[in-house]
Amino acid sequence: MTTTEPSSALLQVRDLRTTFDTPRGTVVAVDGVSLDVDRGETVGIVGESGSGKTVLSRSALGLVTARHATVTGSVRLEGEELVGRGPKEMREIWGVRAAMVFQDPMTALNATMRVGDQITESLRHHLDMGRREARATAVALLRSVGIPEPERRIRAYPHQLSGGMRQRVTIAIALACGPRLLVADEPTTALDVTVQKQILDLLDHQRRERAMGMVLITHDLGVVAGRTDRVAVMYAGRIVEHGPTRALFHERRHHYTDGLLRCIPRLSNPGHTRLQVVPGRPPDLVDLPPGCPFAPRCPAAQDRCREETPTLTDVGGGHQHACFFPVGTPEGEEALARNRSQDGTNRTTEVAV
Amino acid sequence: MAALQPLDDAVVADATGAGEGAPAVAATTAAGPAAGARAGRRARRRGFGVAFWLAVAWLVLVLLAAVTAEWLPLADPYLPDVSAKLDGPSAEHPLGADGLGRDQLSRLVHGARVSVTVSLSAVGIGMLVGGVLGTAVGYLRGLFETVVMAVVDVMLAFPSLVLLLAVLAYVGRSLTVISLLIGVLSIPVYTRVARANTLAVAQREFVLAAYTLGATRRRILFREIVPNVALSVLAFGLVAMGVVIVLEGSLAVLGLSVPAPQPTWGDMIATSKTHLDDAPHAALIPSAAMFLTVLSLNFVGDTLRRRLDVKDAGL
Amino acid sequence: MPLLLRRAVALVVTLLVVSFLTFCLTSLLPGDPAVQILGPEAATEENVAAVREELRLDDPLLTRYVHWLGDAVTGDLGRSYRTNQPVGEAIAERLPVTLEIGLLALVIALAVAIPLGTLSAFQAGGLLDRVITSTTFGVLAVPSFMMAILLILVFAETLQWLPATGWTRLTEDPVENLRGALLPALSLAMGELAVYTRLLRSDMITTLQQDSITMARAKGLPTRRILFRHALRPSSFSLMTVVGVQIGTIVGGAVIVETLFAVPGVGRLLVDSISQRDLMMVQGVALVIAASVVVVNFTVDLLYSLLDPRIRHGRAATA
Repeated sequence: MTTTEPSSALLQVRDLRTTFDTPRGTVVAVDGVSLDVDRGETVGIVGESGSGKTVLSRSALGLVTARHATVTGSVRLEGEELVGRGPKEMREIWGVRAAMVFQDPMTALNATMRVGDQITESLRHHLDMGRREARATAVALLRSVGIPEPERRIRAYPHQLSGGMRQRVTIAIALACGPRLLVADEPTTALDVTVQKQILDLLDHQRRERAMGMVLITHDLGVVAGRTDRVAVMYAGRIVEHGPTRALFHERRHHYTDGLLRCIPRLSNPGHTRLQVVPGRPPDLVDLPPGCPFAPRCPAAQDRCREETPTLTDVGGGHQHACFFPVGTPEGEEALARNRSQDGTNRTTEVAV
Repeated sequence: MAALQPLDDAVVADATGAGEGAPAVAATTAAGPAAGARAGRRARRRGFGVAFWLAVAWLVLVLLAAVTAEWLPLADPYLPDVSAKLDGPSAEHPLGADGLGRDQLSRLVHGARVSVTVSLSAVGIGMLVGGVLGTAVGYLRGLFETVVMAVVDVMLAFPSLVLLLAVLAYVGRSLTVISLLIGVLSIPVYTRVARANTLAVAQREFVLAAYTLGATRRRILFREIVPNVALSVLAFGLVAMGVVIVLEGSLAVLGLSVPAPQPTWGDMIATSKTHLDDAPHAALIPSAAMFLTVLSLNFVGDTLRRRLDVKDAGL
Repeated sequence: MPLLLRRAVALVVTLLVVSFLTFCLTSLLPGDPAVQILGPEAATEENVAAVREELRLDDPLLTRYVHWLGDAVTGDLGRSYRTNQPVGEAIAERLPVTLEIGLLALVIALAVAIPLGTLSAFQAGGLLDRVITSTTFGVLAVPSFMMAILLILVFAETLQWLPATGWTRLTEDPVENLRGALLPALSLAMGELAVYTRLLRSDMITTLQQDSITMARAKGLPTRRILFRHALRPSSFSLMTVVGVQIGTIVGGAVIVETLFAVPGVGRLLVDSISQRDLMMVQGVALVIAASVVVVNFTVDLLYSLLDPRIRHGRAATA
């Protein structure tokens, strides 16, 4: 659950803002995000591609180094400020105290290096292990992430492993030096559906065993449902709704969250039920117009939404949302009804399954 | 083949450019298709920059010098002025005189004629024959392609400098022979470049679109593919002209360029090598002229090639 | 491995075609070798006929080619028309000189280009990168003979550090030998290193944007290790291609530089033989030069698989 005592949080992000200068103008990829992650806790970050969730995770760990990128705000890991640190100081954080699992293990692993070397190099660099010790540790790590015959696999190249095995290897690499925070950026998106659950279970198991804090980034609310303590929904670089997972699922307030939840097909639905998608596309992050960024796609958008930008407001129990006409409230229903009667046509595009 | 090195480089650059086309396009779309297209358009509108036009200006100057050399108020490039032998720049000889006391400026201007003739005709031959062959092969594919490309591979494996030296030594070394020979020897390279570009263009969206719109093969070939490939081959040809100019210089070093006393840049550099200790300007001035010309050709060719690249086309 | 077999067949076919072309080239050139062997005084009709008979010059072209090739395969490239020295022996004498200069140039070029290209890519867009990029672009426009003249002017004439011409055998005096080899090697190396630097830079920039590099950084590895252990190998495919081509041209690639520095290498031998109309020698040298190109390219193709484990294992996985 959310902690109110800031110093006790493992990761404390405050008003993080990441911008990129491009020839077209300044892209605000992350726009004033605040978030806490506790020890042993899993926080989900959900959003469409382009919502800024990947940039958020990389900015938080200081991994955004593009020449034209600017990161401002505050990121504290176990109370230590990370923003503004040089790469030299960050290297004491990376791998040792915070580690990352990437979306596609095939591109994240070095294709020209043996799996074993990719694990032992961190061990040898950070923990000063000898060749033999590092190798033994790597075998143990591979075994702990469920890779059969680790003594043999350690000599394999990434392309000789299956997709699921590769992701297990990247997890082993991330865990090698015993980080306290693990950021998993869409760890299952590039994998077969059948292995997705195994990988998520593995991450969950490791988190519990090692009492790590974990950030699980995904575009799939289904992934987040049973495995996170809290969820933050991102849209256009901002958190639009944030709360304990149960509360967020059952009493969703933001129309974007509502739209995302409607995207999940349910077995309980009668056959031939139309699968909803959130209409439209995420906005262009250059020169974002004033007002709620979701307004152009929102079924309940009113004039006010196009003029004022809603800020996160607490509705109790750590549940926050940024909406003037929240789902399930009288104002929200009224706004929806007004929009429906106004243009007559259904604003939500529907796709037949 | 030190002299042919830049040529090889350009080929590799071109080949990799064509090969990278697809993933690069994918990367652009990943970053946002609208963004890519807009950035591309912006780049095209931005113009070519000062350096590009300076390079073009120098090339035009060299071309003009070559064409008008006879009518310019210059000293006789063949007339030795013994008193001025190896002199530095003076009022009488603005760029000094060479080992025989001949006026350097005049020889430089007349020498441009050889460089221009050799590079234009050699590149013309290579570009025309190789370009047509490569486009045909890349468009028609099949057995024809296999056979032609096998021949091209063998020709490329054969050390062309050896061939060049042997033929020049025995057949004689007039400007015509040198130009023809270099032209013929460069056909395989152009065939490769043209084919690679044809293959790349033929898979681009507008060609596929033309097909689906029911355009005839002939129409597609001449309206869509040829103009696109021609530009790429032309950009490559500009870089290749620099290579040919260098090749003339290399032949001069070996004493196999156009026979003396006709002035050529290569010959001016080669013969003044013996005077490096007391009159380095005699070697440095023609070297500077050749360097600037090759640099300009490389720069213009490179700029055009990058502009034409599938990557930057905002596809 | 059927791919290997196909490559080997292609290699043999190319070698045959190249050797035939070499043979035709020298056989079709004007001038009667017999007359040249005998010299103008001794070239009576009778003598010429005898020599032509001995050298089988009156046989059909194809027959002569088969004979020549048969001998060449056993290492016998004939004898010089001028000195009567066996062609193979003459080439063997010169080859170490050319190889020394060519390999020295390659080593210098790579030793400079790898750190320079990597640094340039790492700082892409920065001041250092712009300086490196534009300098190497300029160097590309300096041909090797011009570079040779500039180097002579600076290091031999002005600073007098190194000799402008002359060659000492390695066995005689290794230091003098190296001093003599340095300027010719540098003349060749400058152009190469410009190409290598630019090639490595552009490939490295692509590599540095990949996830595997972000992951390596997220492991907290030092920059040096990320660049040279993680990024260099995947960035060096184009570089290796060009280096491969370059190695193939070493034997025939130093013709001009050897001439300028008066170095007794294979290139000099070729130029001298051509000007002396020593056809047997020209044939032999041309064959060796052509064959080295073809054989080295073949070998480089095979070595590729060592560089990329994906190729070594038959590209099993999706890239």
